[in-house]
Amino acid sequence: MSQSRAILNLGAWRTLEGQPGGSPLRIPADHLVTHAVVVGMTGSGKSGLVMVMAEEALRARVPVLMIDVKGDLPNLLLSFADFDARHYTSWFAQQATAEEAGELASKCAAERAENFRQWNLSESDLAAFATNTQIRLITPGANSGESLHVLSSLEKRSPRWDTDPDAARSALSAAVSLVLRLLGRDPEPARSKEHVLLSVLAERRLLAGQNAELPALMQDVKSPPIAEVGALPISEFMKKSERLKLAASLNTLLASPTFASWRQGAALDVQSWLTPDATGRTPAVILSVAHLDDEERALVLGVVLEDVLSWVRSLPGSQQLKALVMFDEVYGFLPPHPANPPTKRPIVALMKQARAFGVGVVVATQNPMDLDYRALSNAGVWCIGRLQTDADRARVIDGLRGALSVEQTDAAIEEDLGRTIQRLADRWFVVKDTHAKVGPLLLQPRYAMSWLRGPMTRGELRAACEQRLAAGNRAPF
Amino acid sequence: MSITTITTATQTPTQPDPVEQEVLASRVLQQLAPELAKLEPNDLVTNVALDIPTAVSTVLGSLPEIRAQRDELAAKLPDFDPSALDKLEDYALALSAAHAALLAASQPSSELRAVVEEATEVRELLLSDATALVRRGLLSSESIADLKGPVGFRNISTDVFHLVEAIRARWTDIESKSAITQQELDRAERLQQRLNRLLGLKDQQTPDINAASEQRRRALTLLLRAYDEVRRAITYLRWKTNDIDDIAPSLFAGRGGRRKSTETTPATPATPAVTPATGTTPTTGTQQPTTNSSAATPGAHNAAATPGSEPFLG
Repeated sequence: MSQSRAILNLGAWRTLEGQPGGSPLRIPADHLVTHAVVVGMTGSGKSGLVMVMAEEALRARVPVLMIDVKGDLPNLLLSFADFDARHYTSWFAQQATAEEAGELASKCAAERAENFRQWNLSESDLAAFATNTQIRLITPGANSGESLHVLSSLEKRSPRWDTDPDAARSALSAAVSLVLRLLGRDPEPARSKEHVLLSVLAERRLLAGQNAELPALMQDVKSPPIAEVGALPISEFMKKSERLKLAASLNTLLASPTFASWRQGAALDVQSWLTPDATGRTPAVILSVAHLDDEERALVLGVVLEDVLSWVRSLPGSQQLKALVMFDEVYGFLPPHPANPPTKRPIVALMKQARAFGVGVVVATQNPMDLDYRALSNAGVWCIGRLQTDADRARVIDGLRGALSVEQTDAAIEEDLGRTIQRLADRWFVVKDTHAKVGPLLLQPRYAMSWLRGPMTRGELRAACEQRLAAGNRAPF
Repeated sequence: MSITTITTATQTPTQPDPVEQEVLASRVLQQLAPELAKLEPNDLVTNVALDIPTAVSTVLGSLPEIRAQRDELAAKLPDFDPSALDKLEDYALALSAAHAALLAASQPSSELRAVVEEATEVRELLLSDATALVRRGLLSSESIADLKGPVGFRNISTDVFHLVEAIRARWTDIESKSAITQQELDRAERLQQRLNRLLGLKDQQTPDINAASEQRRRALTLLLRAYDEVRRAITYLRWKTNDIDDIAPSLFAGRGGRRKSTETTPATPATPAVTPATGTTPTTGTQQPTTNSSAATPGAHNAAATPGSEPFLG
């Protein structure tokens, strides 16, 4: 990771009245330590801007964790090292004859090369990006990328139990909550007897240097190796009949083939994900949950984000950007009170605390009404694409108020800003950086180095991974 | 007058059945054949990146509101050619029929599907084993470096061929160190041969597929041209109400990152798609003006970004 001040080149800019800025819009990477919010209606270009931010962070050697709900962030895998048309041929082969595919690939490559030239991106820029970036695709519950053992905090003993037991305990708690949610039981650590019992039993094993695999835990629930939980004898804390029911539920879960796929693959270890490998390449980890249903997404992301939070808290303090966590389409995962999906607590905590450790969070959504106010009010960089409804604009301007100077919070000026946001063209954003001493301006994100094909199917993910492998990159899984 | 208007005008039942009033899309396609044939190859859209059924539904669903603008368009925009609007329904139906014809022509045989499915699995299995063997140094990395990927029937066939060849070439070294068996390799080789044979047979049908594909591109070209023309006109007409997407939604909206047409042709940094606050004629893809904006007035912000500066640095 570079120690000099890293700069991100986001694209072209204009003043609010439309005068060209004359130079690229460059923003210091450390401004993202106070997080960023990207909002805009469907088709406004949010995902493109998020991709450009990710690419720029990676070019500045900042590791990136991208959480993909919609299926299009794996487009980062389609960042090729040169302008050659051969990269595109196989992608057209399915919908065209071989001859047509060749023509389409040539045309696509030529168009992209022209766009790269217009945005002053050379083949050497692409090659450097490909050489210096290690992209890893993780697909929990599926094998289109790298599988993820989502219960590894519980079932596999982490070295963190020796170095940072508090962080390890938080990760364990999230994993136990996930198990209880899957069992249809109360997952709240503070009030659930099942949560307390499983956590105590698991921690006993983990502190003793063992794994706490579910089959072993099930036996512990049936025949507890401890006499008391808290100040109560085990039989008073939870009756034997209740414990046997809990054990039976665990057994049913263990027998489920679907659940088995969640217990395979790489360990959930955000620290290793975001640490450069021996070759020094900057890691970009795409965690794709697009193939899961809504409830599964929330459960898996809850566990992962808890681990991210634990990792962040283990870092030394920093004012430089050390890593970026990006969440495209955060809709439903960070809702206002009283909704409380498992993702909300860790995201809010990250947006309140991660800045001290040099970890920035970027969230993007088309529905600002659905964002918890703490996320909005903690954001230091705002990128606002076109918003059509009055309510959405009012919500954003309300959140933005804290980012504007006193002079800029005049009601008439806010109204004008609202009108500007309503009438923005696609792929233009009003940007406000609270670190800068200037008012909002207009940004057109640069052309992405990744080929933005849109959401990718499981087969396409596999194909993209194999294409990178064949091109000489290390396998993404 | 459009073909559909003529057809429906001849049916005058006392209580018309809406289903019976639907015009056969295939007939419309047939009747538009001369117009489709007139299109020059260079004018055709090159990449059908739209979901055709959705695009057709969008156009047909928008017709009532679009037609409601016809009189005002004719009155206020003398240069506007109303035939673009009148023919929208025909063009949409023709595209629908052309798309159905292409799907029917390109449907692979059931045996081909089954063989491709098995070959895909065999390819994945062999690749997985070969990757492990490469890591063990028992196969050279070049042996899997040129694989074409699992997208496309021919690519799968070629990959299976290369993998079998590569593994056979080092069989004596590999035999006792891998789960691959001689029988699996024989099966893979036969499978690849069968797939090649079926692809050869499929090629015999290719002229039909190419013709259907060409006809669909022509139908799509006509529809996109007419629909874009209508959208441009309505955008101009209703500039102040800014409700074009309510009347005639973009056919490219709501497709997430698959905005190929705009993605590959952005405005250049030197001339980004933005129109200064002048209230001038709108153009597709341009920044709409921020007219009379006090936020745009110099001095309204205590420190507005100035051209030529680095607003976020320093």
